[in-house]
Amino acid sequence: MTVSPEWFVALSGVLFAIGAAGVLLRRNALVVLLSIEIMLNAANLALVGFSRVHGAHDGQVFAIMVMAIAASEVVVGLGIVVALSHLRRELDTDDMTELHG
Amino acid sequence: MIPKPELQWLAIGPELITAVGAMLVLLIGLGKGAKVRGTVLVLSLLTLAIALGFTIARFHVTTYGAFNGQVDSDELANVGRIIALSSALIAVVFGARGRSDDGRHGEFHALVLSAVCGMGLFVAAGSFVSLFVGLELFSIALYVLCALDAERAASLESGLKYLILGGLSSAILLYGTALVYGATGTFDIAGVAEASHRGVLVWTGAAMVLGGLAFKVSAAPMHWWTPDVYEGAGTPVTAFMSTATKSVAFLVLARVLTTSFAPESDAWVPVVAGIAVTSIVVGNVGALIQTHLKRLLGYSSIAQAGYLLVGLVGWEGSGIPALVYALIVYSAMTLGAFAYVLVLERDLGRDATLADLAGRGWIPEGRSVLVALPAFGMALCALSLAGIPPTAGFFSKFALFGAAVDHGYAWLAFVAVLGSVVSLAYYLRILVELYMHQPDEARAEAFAASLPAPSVAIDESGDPRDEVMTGEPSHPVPATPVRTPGRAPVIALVGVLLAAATLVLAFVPEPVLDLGCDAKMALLDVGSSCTDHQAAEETGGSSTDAAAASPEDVAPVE
Amino acid sequence: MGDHAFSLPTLMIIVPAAGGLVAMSMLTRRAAAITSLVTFLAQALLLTVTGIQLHRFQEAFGSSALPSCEQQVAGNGSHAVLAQCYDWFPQFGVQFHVAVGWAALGLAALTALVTVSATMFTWWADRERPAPMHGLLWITAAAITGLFVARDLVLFYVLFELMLVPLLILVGVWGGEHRVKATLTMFIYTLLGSLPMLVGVLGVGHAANQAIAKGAGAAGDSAHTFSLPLLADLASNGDLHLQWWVLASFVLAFAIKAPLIPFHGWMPLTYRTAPIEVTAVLSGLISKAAFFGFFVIVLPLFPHLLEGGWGTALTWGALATLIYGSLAAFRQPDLRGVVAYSSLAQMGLIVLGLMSFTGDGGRQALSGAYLQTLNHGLISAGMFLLIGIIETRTGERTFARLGALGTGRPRLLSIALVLTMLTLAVPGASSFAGELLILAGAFRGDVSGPLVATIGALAVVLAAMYALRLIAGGLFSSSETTAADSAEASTRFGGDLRGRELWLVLPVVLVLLALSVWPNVARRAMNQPPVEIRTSADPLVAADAVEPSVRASEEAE
Repeated sequence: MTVSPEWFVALSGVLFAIGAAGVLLRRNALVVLLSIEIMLNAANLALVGFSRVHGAHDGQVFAIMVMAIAASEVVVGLGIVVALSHLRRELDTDDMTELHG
Repeated sequence: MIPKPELQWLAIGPELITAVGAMLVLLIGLGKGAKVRGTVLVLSLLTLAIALGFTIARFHVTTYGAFNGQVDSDELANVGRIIALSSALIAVVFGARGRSDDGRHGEFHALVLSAVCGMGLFVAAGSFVSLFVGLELFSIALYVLCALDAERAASLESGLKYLILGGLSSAILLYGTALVYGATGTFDIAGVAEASHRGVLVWTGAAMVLGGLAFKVSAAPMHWWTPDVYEGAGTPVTAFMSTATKSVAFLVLARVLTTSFAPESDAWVPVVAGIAVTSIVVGNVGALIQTHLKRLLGYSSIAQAGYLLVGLVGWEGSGIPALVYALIVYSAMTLGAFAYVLVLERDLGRDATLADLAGRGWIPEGRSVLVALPAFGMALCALSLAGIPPTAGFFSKFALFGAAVDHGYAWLAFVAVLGSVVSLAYYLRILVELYMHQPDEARAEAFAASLPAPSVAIDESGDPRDEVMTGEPSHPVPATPVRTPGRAPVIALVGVLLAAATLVLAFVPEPVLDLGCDAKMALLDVGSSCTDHQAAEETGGSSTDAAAASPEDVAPVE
Repeated sequence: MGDHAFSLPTLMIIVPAAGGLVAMSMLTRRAAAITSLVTFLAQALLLTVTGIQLHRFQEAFGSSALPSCEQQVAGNGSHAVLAQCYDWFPQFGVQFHVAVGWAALGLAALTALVTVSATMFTWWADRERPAPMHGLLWITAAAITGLFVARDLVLFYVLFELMLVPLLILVGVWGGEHRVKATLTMFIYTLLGSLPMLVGVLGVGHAANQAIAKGAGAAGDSAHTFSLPLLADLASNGDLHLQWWVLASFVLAFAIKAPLIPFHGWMPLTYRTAPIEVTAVLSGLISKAAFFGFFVIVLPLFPHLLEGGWGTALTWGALATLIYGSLAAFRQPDLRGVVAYSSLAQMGLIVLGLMSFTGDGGRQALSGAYLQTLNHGLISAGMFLLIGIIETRTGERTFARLGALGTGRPRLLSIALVLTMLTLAVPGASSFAGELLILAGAFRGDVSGPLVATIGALAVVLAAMYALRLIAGGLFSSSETTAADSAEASTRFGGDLRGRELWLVLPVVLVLLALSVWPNVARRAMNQPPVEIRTSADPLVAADAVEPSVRASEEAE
């Protein structure tokens, strides 16, 4: 039994929502970065699913490019987190009150 | 056999130049010594100058569908490149004297060059794929640039904040792209408009793309990052971000909305109007209570984004030329304001607040008039941001609001105008401080008490887990002041020139208006007059107007 | 347009602006004062030349001809140019379009005279940092003069806002206590009116574009225009469809600027806090910008709306301002307050005259309004400068601490009395001619009518109350002060007005006396207003109406 592509898209929507919730609600910086990754991968899943729907390769190629981009983004994020941890102990975003917002 | 793809390298010429420049600069910057610093600076400036010259020389050379449809290098893209490259040039001049350690001289410059490369790709994108790639390229470069002052917690925080919120918005944009792809079957920006299925998927996708781009232009409700990131990042980076990013993002927003989602224009115009209203209100109200200059400029840039969106509402008529003119003017006046903020910061050795402006407008006893000139430039920029004639800031608002009124959105113009009245309260404070207050140590200290700490010393007992993460024992970073006090004559000069530009652009607007007209004609792909609605094309007057407005307009397509 | 780089009206703007910039960079008080005088002389010369050229122009083209971009030069070989059009933002239809007629010339002369008197006061009063003050005063003058010669709506708007910027600095830096609050109040309150006016301007442009797109009007080859003569043309043919909110935005802006009640809130604080010469400029010149705005924008462009409810509302508003101003003037405790509120009352009267432009008495009312504008500008400037002399010499401002200044000082007394009589509008004075024309025209006006005119006439009598209080309180002993205080003030005042002080106010007084003898000078200016105003519903009737009154006045002369 083949799973029709629409289910992939639905799954991607759910994952996207989960990721978004994580970014907005979680306080640990690492978990937030993780949530962003989830969102980007959700989009990837949607791309691949739609690509299948249209029977073309575009979406899948784009998804591979997105993976590379997401990887570099998270590397940068982790680098900043490491630098921050040199200056302070906690990674709690609610405690990052140097900036007033 | 895989057919050989067509590679029109010249279409992405500026991006190639800046990419090569970035790599060179990064490699050369690994050296040690002041000479290396100088070389890196010169190389970076040279790269930007060459790329700028290239763009200007080939301004009217348009290439559509290059790299299999990924790149549409037209006048609109070239306008974006010019703004980004010029902002980068000025940002490099601003950042030239920043501290850097041996082996790291090239970082700042390589990042700026990479960012500009990404911006060029972003604004010349012909498909959502290259749009996303360009977006991420400059965004990631900017995240690092914000965090580059690694000794200041505020800088790292701003970088992280920008990254988190930027990542969120990029993901939203990407998902929107996926939805649009799902509905239309194509990633091509122009191609999306031609698809016939325009159902919920396209609308949702369009909304998400709009949301992602709105983040980049600091439009409410995606504006939360702006004040904090502007405050925390180093001032040259803030200056670059606030002008280049916003400008290219606006141009791409215009492109995407008026090309891909043109059939939905009746739907997105009110939405854009609503976002404009929100931004104007949030930005102006938020700025009223700020004392930290960079935060104030951050909130003001949110409001400015609102005004620019008002112009976008009138895109069928004179909205695009108005937008281009306004973006160039906005860049000039914002960079001018940041130039002075930077001069102040160098002078004080810390972040600048409103109280630090006190009395600086007057010439000190026995000094020459040149000493007060940078403050006068700041006053001019403040007047221009407020939209007071005869500065170009006024004319850009005139053009933007006029485009909206022509489109039947007079109420939006009224709201924008009321926002401008509110904005007077904080822009005039700059003038009041400069000319009507006396320098007061105690007051300045009181205002400065609310600033973030310049640097944070860590305790000796490092966490053993750090060793695992970094592979070397954590060592204490000495608490050094971030900036040594000093003068900044070159930056002051640049600031004055930019302030002068806000007057020049008001009195001699022709060249920039022509640029805007070219951009509009390239974007909307019509031979219509520059400012008339396309419907009015039938009247005889419009075609003569078009011929008169931009005689050198004919764009040979390669 | 034109082979000449600069036309006379453009020079009329450039001369004071350049003078102002030069004055700002002067290092000594004396040098700045000399620069001011030189600027004034240059401007006076320029205005004289312009007058001669205008005379020749009208000899060539008829007494009611006005310079325009097509018809700039007199036919008899003179080379000076009276109008200029320069494409500024062609895509939006904005031009640098200036032209000078008699009305603008008179107002420009007023500006020059008041500004030089103000700058001479700055020199006499030994202000701190005098050079920037001189410079800013002349830059303000340049902006105001530019407004009087502007014939493009956007240019008008630019100058309307621009003239506030030097004032912001003038009041904020050299003003008295609470100067920052006063200047911000003035600036923001005024912009609360003029920024929405921007939307009104855009609305006018939009309506004009639509009218042209439908083929109406002689717009030349441009699809967009903000040219006031063209707009007035379109409006008088009924092709310009402007909505009520456009009118509202203009009215609000001008009502705040004039000011008219209930928008006068910024005035008392600002007039009291500003340095007195700046108050003289504010009252004498800036309020004229509002008058001129009504004159060249509101009246020509909104004939229909003004014949209906809007006209009625404005007329009664003006009347209310006249009454309120007069009554309030009587109750003020200080010299400045009395003159400030009397200024308010006068602006009400002027706007009343403007609003009576429809009907048989239209031309009369407009002539009266214009004449009264000149009068008011000179009188209030003179009064404020005189008050400034008193304030500077005695250090007091209120009636409670002043008095007995008139005894033994004939020069002071004579000038004060002359100015007061002019404020009172005694028969024979130019202000009497102005008020008579306004009220006579209002009597026959369509919107105003006899009732309004009668009430206006009664209100004018109220001027006697505050004018006499001014004299009694300032120059003689009144019940408000004690003998000791007034003796003290008198001692501090010192001797009579000396040479320099005399020359601060004398020029203004002399011009007023000249106007009293020859009020028709103003009448001539009104033979052709700068922008065509329809004084009746039927354009043909309006043309006929001009002829008889012109002939009648020429016979009467």
